[in-house]
Order: sequence, then structure tokens, then C-alpha cells
Amino acid sequence: MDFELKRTIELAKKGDEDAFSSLICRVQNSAYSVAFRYMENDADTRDVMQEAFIKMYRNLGSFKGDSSFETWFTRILINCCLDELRKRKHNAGWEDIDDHYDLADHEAGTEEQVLKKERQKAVTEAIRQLPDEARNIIILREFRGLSYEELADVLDLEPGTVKSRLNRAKQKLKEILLESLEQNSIWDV
Amino acid sequence: MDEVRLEKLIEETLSTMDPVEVPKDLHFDAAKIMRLARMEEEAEAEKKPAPLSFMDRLRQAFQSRSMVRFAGAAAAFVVLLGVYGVWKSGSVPAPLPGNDPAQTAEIDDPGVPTTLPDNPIVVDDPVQTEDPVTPDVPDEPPAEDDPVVTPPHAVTPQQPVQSAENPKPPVVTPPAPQPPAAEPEEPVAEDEPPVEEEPGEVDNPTEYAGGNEIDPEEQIPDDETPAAPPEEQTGEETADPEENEFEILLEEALQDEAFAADFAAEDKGFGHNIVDVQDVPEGTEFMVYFYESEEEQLAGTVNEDDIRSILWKKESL
Repeated sequence: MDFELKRTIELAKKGDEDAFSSLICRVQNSAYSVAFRYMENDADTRDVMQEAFIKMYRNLGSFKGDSSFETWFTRILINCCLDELRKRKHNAGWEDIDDHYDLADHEAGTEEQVLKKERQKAVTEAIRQLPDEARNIIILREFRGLSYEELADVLDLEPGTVKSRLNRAKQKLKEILLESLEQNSIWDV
Repeated sequence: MDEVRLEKLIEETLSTMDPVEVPKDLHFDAAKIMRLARMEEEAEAEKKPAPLSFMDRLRQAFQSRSMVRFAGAAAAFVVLLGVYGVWKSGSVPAPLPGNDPAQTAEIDDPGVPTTLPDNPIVVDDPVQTEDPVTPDVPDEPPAEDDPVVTPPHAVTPQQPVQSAENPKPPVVTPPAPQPPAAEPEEPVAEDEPPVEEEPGEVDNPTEYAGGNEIDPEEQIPDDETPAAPPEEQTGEETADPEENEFEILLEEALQDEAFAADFAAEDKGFGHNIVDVQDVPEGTEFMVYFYESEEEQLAGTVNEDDIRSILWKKESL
């Protein structure tokens, strides 16, 4: 951890708004891209990000610098997203996400683009059905582009087990998509 | 579709997923987030139960069922132990108040003053002076402190002994006052030794050593009681026991109709004073002086020349 970041964190701990604002700016873009994969709409993503920033401020004292600050915050963010999704699952609030993708479909132009959007929608739906651990590793690896080491850091796993967990997650995703083949011809090329 | 092709498509789709476009207006208010964080901390601090004190932990421990059973068993044991102790100590009853040997010893100790000071409390109300033989302090002149010497006019008039035939309205018969000349004859109150009274005993008739107050009303004898001669009722300390006997004899004699008729014939309505009673062969002779006026009655003056003799004949007994 560089000295500047450490100093900023110390200032933020003491209630310095500018320091805390700089920490938010440091992670907000990457955090948004990850959170959006979970929440799949802008409003919910912003809400869950705000919740994650609140937790970040409250837990600044527990940050020891053993991992990167971004990794530490991503862990907080994923937990917030999963908590929020569990709440929605309870309240059966998936319809909003589907509507979001329906709107995206209307924006599509050519048939190939429509087919691509349909496949992405199917993959997103399959990822949604994955267990939390498999979903986390797919999103962080495929969409966020974290390395195995970073995945191990965020997901609190041994680096040697990250690759096998990633393969197992993809295998699970394939099974889900195969089950939906008969109802969907988007994979027929 | 074979799985290999499907895997390839999935990999392709994953790699070609549209990147998330970060909104350009994405901005988070650091101050607001910090304020919300503090509010959450305060709310959690309020929800967090206060640390339990020792008594609270003890109370919680006793709320458990096993502890309640244990406490119940212990309480029952203590109660049984208490009952056993009472039963065992029942053979030696606790001393009653006033029967405490230690207390008695203390009272009997002559060196310990157990009474009020020797200076007698002068009671103006002569009715409260009950015992005619109760002496006062010999050193004190009786004319000053002794309530017995209360002038006769201050004495509450008492109902005299009346005959059954006497139809007159109740005439107040004063107590037999002692004429000045008779005083040497009745030195009982001053010269007689104290009777049933030990030195240091309470002189105040309203109190005794135990401290209980005697209601003065209780000391007023019933007027109808023949055993209470007027002399006693008036609190006269020099009352002659012989006169009491005379009055008792008179009461008996008045039961005789003949005697009562003779007595009523002599009665002037202002009371009487039995001077003497003598047994004679014919019966019992009452030497009675009948007062002729209230003044004479109050003064207790007896005219020696006008003493009547009324015979209570034996035959009539």
C-alpha cells in the first residue's frame, strides 16, 4: 500500500470528507461495473454501492493493508450485492431486471445483434441461477477481469483452488444453459 | 447441439458480453455517506443491549428452571429448619414482658430508683385520692399539700344514705367533715405508718411503678355502693373506719321498716352524722345528729345537744 493511500485512509478514519471522497472516487467505476452485473440496473447498482461505501467507512479501521484497497472494497461490495439479491429473492423482484433487458432488446437493430442480445440474456439468466460462490467467481473473472491471485484475495480462497472453482462454475453454467436449450433456439447457429 | 460447441458459444458470449457503461454522472456524496454511517452506528448502539450487571446476570441465572427448583428446595429446607428450631426451643418459653427475671431483679434492687421522685404530686382533684391511709411525706405540713385538707365547701356533695321511706328528693349529704376539735382524735392520715406502701413508691395516685396511667374516672366510687362511705368518696384522708362501720350498720338498720320510719321522722333533709352506735339490751342504738341547714352540713358542725337516739329493736331483726 502506497503512502498516499495510507494517509488518505487515516484521514478518512478521522472524518475527513475530502479524504473519504477520494477513496470513493478511487473505486467507484470498477465497483459500478461489478455491482451492475449483480443488480442489472442502474438504480439498484447505485443503491447497493452507497450501502457498500457506508460499510467501507465504518470498517476503515479494520483495513490492515494486507490486500489492495480495491480488493478489500470489492469484497464488501459483493457481500452487499448478494445481501440485496437475497432480499429481492425473498420479495420476488426479478421482474424489474427482466424489464430492463426487454428494453435493451428493443434497442437492438440487426438479427445478429438481436441474437447476441438474446444469448447474453440467457447467460445472464444462467449466472443469476448459479450459487453465490460460482456467480462471484464468474463475474469477477469474466466481467471484472480479476487475476487468480486477486480472485483468491477477494473470495478468500487458496490461489490453487481458484482455477478449479472457476471451472466448476463454468460447468454449472453450461448445465443450466443446456436445460434451457429446448425452449430456446438462440444457440442454434 | 453438442456440449463442445455449446461450451465454445458460452465462452464466446462471456467474452463478448457488453461492458457495463459507467454513468458519467456517477457521484457519491462522501459527507452524506459518512453521516449515514454515523447514524447507523448510533442506531446499532441503541439497539445493542446494555452490558449486564452482576445482579442482572444473577437474576438471569435464577430464572432458569433448575435454579428455581434448587432455590425452592433450599427455601423449604430453611423453613423446616426454622420449624424444628421453634419446636426444640418450645420447652423454654420466652419470658413474658414484665416477667423477665432480669427486669424483676432490677426493680427489686433497692439501690435502683424505680419510682418517681419523692416529691409528691399534689392532685387538686380529691376524688382521685383513694386510699385514706396513704401517708404523705411526714415532713410536709398537711395543711399545705395534703389534698385531704381541702375545705369542705370544695368537696363535691355526695348522696347521703337515705332511708327507703324517705320520699324527699335526693339531699346532698356532705361527707362527715372533721371539726377542728376532732382532728386530734383522727391523726390516722398523718401519724399512722404507711400501709402497703414501700419507700419510694409512687405518690401520684394516677400512676404506679409500671407506668400505666390509671384513669381517674375509674377511681370514683359508685354513689350507690354502700361500702363506699361519704368520707371516702370525698377523699377525706382522715375518714374514721368506725364511722364506716356505723354507716354499714345504718344501711342494715334502714332495712327495718320501723327503724327506717323513726329515722325518716328525725331526718331534716340536710344529711346526718352518726356520732355513735351502741349495743343496748333492747337492740342497737344509733346516736345521730341531723344537720339543720346546708351551711351546717358543709361545716360539719355537730350540735351535741341535739343528737338523736334511734333504737333499732332486736325484735325487728
